[in-house]
Amino acid sequence: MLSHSSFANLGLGVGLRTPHFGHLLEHRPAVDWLEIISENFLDSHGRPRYVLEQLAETYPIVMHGVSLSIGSTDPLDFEYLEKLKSLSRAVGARWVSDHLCWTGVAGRNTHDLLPLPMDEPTLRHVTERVRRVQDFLERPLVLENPSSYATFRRSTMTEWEFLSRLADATDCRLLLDVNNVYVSSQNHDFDPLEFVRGVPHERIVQFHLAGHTACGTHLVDTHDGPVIDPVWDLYREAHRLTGGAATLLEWDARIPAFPVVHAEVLKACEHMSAALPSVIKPRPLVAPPVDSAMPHPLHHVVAEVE
Amino acid sequence: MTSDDTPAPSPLDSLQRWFQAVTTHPGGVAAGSQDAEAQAAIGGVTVDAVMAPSSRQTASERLDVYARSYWARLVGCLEEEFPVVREAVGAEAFTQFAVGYIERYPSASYTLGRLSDRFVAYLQETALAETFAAERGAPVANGPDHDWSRAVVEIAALERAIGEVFDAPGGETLGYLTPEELAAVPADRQADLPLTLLPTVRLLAFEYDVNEYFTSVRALGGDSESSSAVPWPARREIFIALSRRAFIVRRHVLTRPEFLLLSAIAQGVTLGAALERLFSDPSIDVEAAAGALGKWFAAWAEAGLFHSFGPVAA
Repeated sequence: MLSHSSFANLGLGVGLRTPHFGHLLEHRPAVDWLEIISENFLDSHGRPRYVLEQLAETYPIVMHGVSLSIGSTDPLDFEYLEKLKSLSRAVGARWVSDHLCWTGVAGRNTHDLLPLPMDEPTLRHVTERVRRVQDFLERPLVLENPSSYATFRRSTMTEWEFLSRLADATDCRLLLDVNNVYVSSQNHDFDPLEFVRGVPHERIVQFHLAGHTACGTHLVDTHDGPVIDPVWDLYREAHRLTGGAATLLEWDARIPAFPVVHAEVLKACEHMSAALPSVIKPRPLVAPPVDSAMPHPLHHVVAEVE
Repeated sequence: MTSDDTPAPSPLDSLQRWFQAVTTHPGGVAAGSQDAEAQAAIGGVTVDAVMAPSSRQTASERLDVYARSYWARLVGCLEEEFPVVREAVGAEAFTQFAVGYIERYPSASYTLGRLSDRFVAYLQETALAETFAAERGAPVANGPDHDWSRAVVEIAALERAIGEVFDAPGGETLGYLTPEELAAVPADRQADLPLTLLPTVRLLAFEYDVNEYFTSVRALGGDSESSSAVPWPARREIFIALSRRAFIVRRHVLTRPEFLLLSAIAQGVTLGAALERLFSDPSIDVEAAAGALGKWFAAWAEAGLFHSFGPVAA
């Protein structure tokens, strides 16, 4: 296993996305690090993989997956895990992360980050699987809190308690997505500060920031815009409690030019020493009807053809 | 809900099977919860008995967020991979095809890159013409002169092949056989050569000129109104080689003799044996083909079709 020192604070990073390939290769902008969606590169023998290998010579790379399905009752996919391991070695990935979720069962993949019941049997199930994955990958797994849109009646604990106990039991590390905390807090009627204050701060090695979409009755984690103020407030508190960790902005739909995305994550600097919030003031969920709001993840690379 | 409605906690596996059945049913959450798959997982329960509401949404409304995004996400991926098929049949018909396909062949892979593995076969086994002819206003459905379904299947086959070539191991890393290297082979050794094509090469034969249609639709940049005015693919046998250079997929139109010769080479026989096969085809003008060989091979090497004189390295 890697030691805790392997999770150094990498600074302010950006998610590597196809529209930015050309800009990054040509200009090599001064972004601290890049995070990839693992599945976009596992089977690529073309341009995505070539670009990644080129950029890995300049930037630290972190692998972020969406198909581990750590909470599923299906068997673990060791072909997938072998590919993850191989890619992580090839690009010198600083760490490998995925989500506390399941993506499908009975041999199917919905390609969504589906919610788990927060109860003792599920905690035992996920704990056992995290241990097996870590043994196979020979490194601690980093798990992210997903945005969620539904909860189970059988849940007996909060998500932050579940994450805390899982991390204690497995020595896994946490990726705290403060936008997801905010989205879920609005969808499930809890105080987002309670979540941020309730997770084990010493295990947090990374933060995610992103935009989301208000749909009137709920929020959807769309990654299609700038970070809103209440999320920055949460980030400020999370930064204070942890002493800082590698921070990354995700922008996956209606992706603007790279300098715009980079400028958005650089705003984090303003929040690292700013006054702390005591209360998060949520934005109203009132918004024009948005039928097309689609939750992250969308990991699909389109071929380039002449 | 009364306490009598509360089910005993189910094993996680049953709960996940129930959740998946409810949120991936094409009829929506209400239909999904009544479907046999959901009932087999956890029988006799309502959505309200399993899922909790929020202050703003009922339990069913909350599951509907997952249900709607499931179809939107996967149909959206197929739209991205088959934009010309979508333009050809119209958005509404394409969505019907995509939903039907996903229902019959749900994703079973960790990657969305495999989602469309059986899409072309699905289109082949599905009666398409009646569905899309009305929307497009096509004058006829299938008939003796025009098999619109066949044309759509061929457009899909071209788009699927482009996707495969984009991700395959290619000459950018494996190396290309250059025209100069090819020209340097002594004439007396040429017949014994096993010429190896790169994994990025696809040789495609079509009954309809879907290549020209593909070019015309893409030139309009997704403007559906204009693309509906693009003439349907003419019924004209065409042959295409796909290759990749600088990580971009390229299309090359071939003559029938070129296609036959490259197909023989792709089977791993020596150049001499491949030529023998070509010249034994009674439809081939042997003299014309023999005279064009030098030009063909130079053009194919320039297009990046060849890897080497031996097998592709692992």
